[in-house]
Amino acid sequence: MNSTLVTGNTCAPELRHLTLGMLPLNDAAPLVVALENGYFGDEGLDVSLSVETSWAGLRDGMQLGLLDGAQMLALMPLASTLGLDGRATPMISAMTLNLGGNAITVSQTLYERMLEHDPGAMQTPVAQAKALARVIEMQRQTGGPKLRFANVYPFSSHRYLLRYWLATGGIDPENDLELRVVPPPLMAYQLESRKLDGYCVGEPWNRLAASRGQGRVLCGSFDIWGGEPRKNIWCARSLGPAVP
Amino acid sequence: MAIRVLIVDTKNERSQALEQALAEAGFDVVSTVDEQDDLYVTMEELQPDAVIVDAALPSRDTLEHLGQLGRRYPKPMIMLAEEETPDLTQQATRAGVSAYVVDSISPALVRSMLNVSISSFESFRALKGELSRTQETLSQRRAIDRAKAMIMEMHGLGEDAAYQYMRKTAMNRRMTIHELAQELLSVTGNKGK
Repeated sequence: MNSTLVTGNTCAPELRHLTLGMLPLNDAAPLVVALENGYFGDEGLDVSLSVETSWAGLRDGMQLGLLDGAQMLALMPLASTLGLDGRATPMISAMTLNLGGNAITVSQTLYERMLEHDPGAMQTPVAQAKALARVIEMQRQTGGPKLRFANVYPFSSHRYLLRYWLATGGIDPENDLELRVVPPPLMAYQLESRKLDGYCVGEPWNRLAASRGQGRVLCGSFDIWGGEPRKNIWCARSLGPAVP
Repeated sequence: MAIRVLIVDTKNERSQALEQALAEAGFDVVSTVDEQDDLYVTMEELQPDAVIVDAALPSRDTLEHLGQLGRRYPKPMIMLAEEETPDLTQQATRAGVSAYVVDSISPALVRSMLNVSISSFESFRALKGELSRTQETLSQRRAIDRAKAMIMEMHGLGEDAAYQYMRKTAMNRRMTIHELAQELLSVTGNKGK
């Protein structure tokens, strides 16, 4: 049996040295602030942050045991626990970092085409999706290529937000258009160079396209799914029972 | 039939060396592309059996999606059914190598491909490390020379005497000669480099 060290009225943490993975995004701010302001130290923890560049990189780090915890898309650890994403590795959520904060953006060209089909109906997400459905139908009749939309990772709320929104307009996300995964920093560029017609992503990539006049932000994720959990900090379940 | 490998890397020198090393080990490198390429089109056209990608590239997430799309697309290494290589996967991750492979490649070939890639990435890093150390030494050397010239001028000393003076002062102040030189140069508004 492990004996628990008691100092004063607080328990010493079972693990002192922790490596936490993160991506350089706005929602990693709590981790960075906690490190810089010494909040981890106040709790008796010695934390180092490992800055990764892809969600796949964080998943590998968690599943290979190189990371003790990580900021992840809320769906990733569920997929990991179920063995759908990489090696089946049970994980538990330590805290939710934020809710919502994503948006759907389309290219200026597509926006204008949607307006043509339904000038007055761009007010609600459902009306927008229906206008998009008409553009897709027109595209099909004229034999044009499928429209191309992007999200950030197969196991992300972005993907499901996008699919749900498309479906409200009667669009079949599997067949009526092409869904891709594009790293967020490349999205605005691909919208500009017409490799993409739209995407669902967090900030600043919606506003960036809008401020350059290349894209129009249609709706925020809150309009589609109020309070959707976006990013959580997750740790390996093997740590779970031992580390409250 | 040789395994068809696609390399995704933005560092030209490194990918060229890797391409050569893989070819020597009997792999068929079908193409080397970088971040801006359309991986959906590339993968469809070239249909590689394996992809070696710089683990630091965000495009990995696109490869993840492709891996989910169907059997003919390579899957992330961590997902291999026949996973007898957890150490190798860790080693590769540490070296900054990520691999995606189709199910049908034998574990022995995966191992060989990874070993070649890891050692190629590592020797590239070692080379870069050595270069930056050499450059640092050079720039330190220059700062020391400039500070020495300044002292020679200010105190009318010969080269040796000026150097001895700097050495003694640095020792007394428990700093390296380079640190002293930098301080001298910055105090007199004479920028190092």
